[in-house]
Amino acid sequence: MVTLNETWIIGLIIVCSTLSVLMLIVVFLLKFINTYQSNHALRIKHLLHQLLVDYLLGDSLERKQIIEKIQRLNKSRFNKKILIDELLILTNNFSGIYAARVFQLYKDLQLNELSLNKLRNPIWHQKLRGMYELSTLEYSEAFDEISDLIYHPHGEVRRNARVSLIKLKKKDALMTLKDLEGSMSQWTYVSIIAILKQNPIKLTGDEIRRLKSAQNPYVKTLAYDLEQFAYAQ
Amino acid sequence: MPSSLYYDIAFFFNYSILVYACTLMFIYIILGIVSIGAIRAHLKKRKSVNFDNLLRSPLAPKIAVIAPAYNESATIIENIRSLLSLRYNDFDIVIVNDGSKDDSLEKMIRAYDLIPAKRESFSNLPHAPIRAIYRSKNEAFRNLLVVDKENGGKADSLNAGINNTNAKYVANIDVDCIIEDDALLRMVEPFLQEIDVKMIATGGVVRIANDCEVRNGRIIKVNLPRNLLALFQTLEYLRAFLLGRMAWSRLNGLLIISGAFGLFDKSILIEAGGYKKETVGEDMELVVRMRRLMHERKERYKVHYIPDPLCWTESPTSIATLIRQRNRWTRGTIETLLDHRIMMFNPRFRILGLISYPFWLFFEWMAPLVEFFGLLYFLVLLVLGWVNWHYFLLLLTLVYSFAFMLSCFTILVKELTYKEYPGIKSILTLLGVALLEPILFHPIVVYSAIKGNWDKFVLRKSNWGSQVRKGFGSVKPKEQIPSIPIPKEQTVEI
Repeated sequence: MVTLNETWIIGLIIVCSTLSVLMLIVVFLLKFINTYQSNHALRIKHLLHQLLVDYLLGDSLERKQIIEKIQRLNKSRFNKKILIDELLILTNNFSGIYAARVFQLYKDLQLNELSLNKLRNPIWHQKLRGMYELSTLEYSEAFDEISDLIYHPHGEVRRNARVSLIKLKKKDALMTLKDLEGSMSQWTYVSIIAILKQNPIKLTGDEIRRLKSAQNPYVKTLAYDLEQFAYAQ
Repeated sequence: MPSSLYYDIAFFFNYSILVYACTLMFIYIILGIVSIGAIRAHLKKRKSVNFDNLLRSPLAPKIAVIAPAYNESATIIENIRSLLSLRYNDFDIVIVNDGSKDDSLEKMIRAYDLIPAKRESFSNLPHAPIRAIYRSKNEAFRNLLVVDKENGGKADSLNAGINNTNAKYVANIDVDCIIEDDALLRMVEPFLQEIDVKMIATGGVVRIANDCEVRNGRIIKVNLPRNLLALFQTLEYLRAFLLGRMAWSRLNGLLIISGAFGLFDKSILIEAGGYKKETVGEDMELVVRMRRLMHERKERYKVHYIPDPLCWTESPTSIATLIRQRNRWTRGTIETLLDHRIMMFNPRFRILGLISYPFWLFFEWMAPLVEFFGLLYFLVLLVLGWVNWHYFLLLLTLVYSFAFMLSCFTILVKELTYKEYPGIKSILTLLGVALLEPILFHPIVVYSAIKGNWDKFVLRKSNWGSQVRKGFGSVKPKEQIPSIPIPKEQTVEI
């Protein structure tokens, strides 16, 4: 005769076994999907690499033809995501005329719309991703939308918004920080200095003085550091 | 015929064991669910973090990577080379030669052009006497510092290393671990991101490196180990790090940062008194003491875990070595729990005293003891012929099926997050290991824990024991290195 105690144990065994089987099914499905996506991504990247090299080095006619070829590859969201990742890598590695061409490609393929949609998504990590893409590719039209996020309730969004603004419009964004309320993390601070070191700007004596007169002690310290790292005229 | 006393005793033990087992299972499920949320949030955030800014920044805080070394002649040169190639703006590598009896020091001196340097102590943590400090005259190795001291153990060596650096953060590692080249960037990020709360320590996930392809001190290809014992430990490490520590980190109740790789705020570490030489669990004991210090200072703080695999270590492949290792871990846990028993259910220590400490006491420490006494109880009943076989087999099946389910959950979390073991074969291997683990591996772990308790409470043991390491590459035969005369006049100012 099975007691109540034993009934509970049998029930728990059935639950554990069922969950194990379900999880294993999900594991194998995930493995299949991940393997397929990984192979697909490799194929797309291989094709894109050649097209992007030709685009960067080609003349205007060649670039127009390559855009059409990329558009044919760019039908799915997954492929667009891969392309944006490649453009981000190129932007980080190139400057001058090639960076400008990367940016032009980003706009011609309307990938900025994808990034803007992420920025407008209510989920915080989508906003982060949108800000990261727009600021790395220096899509300055997003400046106003991103500046609305410097007082967002989520800490990560706030921090990334401040850094993204500096990436987009260095001097204007710095002067916006003058009225910043609340604290600034050392990460944000370090990132701002690093961005300005990579893209040096010249602040006038008056601009430095205005930053130094900020109520926020972090902005004050930033102003002194900017002066020290010879960003002041 | 069993008397009514038997039924009373049996009722008590049966229900006690069942309640204990169900409570532990429930806690593991909760930890697993919390973990998966924490890992997913981390991975989503990580996609948008630009570590290059920190890499380029002149304001990146200085980190000292401190690695005690004892008789590491076979691999020390390669280990140091891999540490020197870490990607970070401003860091020192501090190798503490803990009175090695082999030619580790001579090899380092020759390979890295070391010459005696001026001694400069930045703090006063206790340690064995230092014989000499060495720096390289080669500009390429300017951030390498070797501290040669008399033997004192790992904790002693770490204290010596900490005293000889002016870095803001110290990363304490095992010298034979392989650290990912961007590990310092990832580990220091939480310190710099926090505004309202002080970050005092971060830890990274440790993975098993047995049979991985290693070249120039870097993992080139991740493979599952071929040795069965190492496979069991791979699954165990996945479970512990992915499910356990991430959850505790999210709850801010983490009691341990792995001794293989952890990053600490140096000022807090020193104020807490540094590493304690008297314990074999110095890694756990330090974290608990640092946390206790912050509670006593009434300051808000955090200990954070990063779920990225940042450190790869060699696991024991023989049962004897594994038993010694787990024995030491058990004794270390006991020593820490005893030293800090004031925290037990003490609301002054909040989650640490009300949840973390009791969990470690009643489950991490006590679970093997409950199993062992459960086994003894079973043997007594067997001798007396009073075993309720039906109930016993049901209970055994429940425990086995739960253990297997937890392993399946671990594999699922691994596939959802870090997919470092490629191919269907790896999943099938891990599943096979999950089926065998409760039968073959778990008894060894329980035995080691029981022995650890015996050694601690009865034999009063307090030493480390030895661990045989094979190294990641082929081990060259020991060369006969002549001792190198060190010119007394040629020193370098730090």
